Amino acid sequence: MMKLLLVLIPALALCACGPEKKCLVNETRCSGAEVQVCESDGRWATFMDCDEVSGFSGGQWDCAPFEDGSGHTCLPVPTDATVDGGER
Amino acid sequence: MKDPTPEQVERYWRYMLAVFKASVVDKRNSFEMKALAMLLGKAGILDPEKFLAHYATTIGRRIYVPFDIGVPTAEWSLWGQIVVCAHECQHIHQLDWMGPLRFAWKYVGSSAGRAHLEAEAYRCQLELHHWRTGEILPAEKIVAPLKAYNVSDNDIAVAATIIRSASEAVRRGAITNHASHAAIEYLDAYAHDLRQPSN
Repeated sequence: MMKLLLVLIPALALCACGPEKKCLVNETRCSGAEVQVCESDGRWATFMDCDEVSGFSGGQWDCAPFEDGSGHTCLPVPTDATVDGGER
Repeated sequence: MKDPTPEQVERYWRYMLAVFKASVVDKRNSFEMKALAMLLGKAGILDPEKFLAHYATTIGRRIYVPFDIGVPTAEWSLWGQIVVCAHECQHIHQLDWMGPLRFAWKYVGSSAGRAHLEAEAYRCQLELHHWRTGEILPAEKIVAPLKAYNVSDNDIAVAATIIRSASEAVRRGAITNHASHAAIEYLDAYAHDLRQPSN
């Protein structure tokens, strides 16, 4: 048991200091209101800010997945009226 | 669909240049562009003549164009001149946002960085075309010119993903770029007749 711990602890320490996990090239995700794509170096990069889109386009926009789940983009946030008929 | 008039194009350019504090230079007669064309040719990146005649280029706040603004040519229609102005102004916004060193490093230093910056500017094409016609240009068609920028196939695919994602927002009425926003505000106010009537 002691031997196992002697091997495991340094191994875990090495893992903890290892490189950041790379993303899958061309994958997209939301990071708050930002839409990000995984670039060819395996790092996430923001390409659209839905807060800016709200400022440019009017209304409120937020990052969300496509309906078919094939990517992410800025989509208009439905107003209360369209969500629940305006009644709370 | 109504074509822009030369006066509309000239006034629009004047507006955009004022908003982005930019100036325009005739690329065909520019010493620095001829020198750059020669360098690009020697490095095997771009054919010098092609670079001078077929591409608009922005360095700092100077937009180098291979046409006379408001004079249509076979390659540069008046609408094309409106679109390219927004594209180049988006690069100026990127420069302001990132600072000159970071911008230059990202653009010149890596294929991925260049593809990312160009994809963002290509969204102007997407957004202005949608404003005018109500249609969405295919992502592959928009990013196709990246092949001439020494960008890898992987990075072109990422650029297409960026455009495809933005298309879904634009289809729903989003404006995603600073330069498109300025351009569309102006066109809505002063050149609304360029929009397809049903749009």
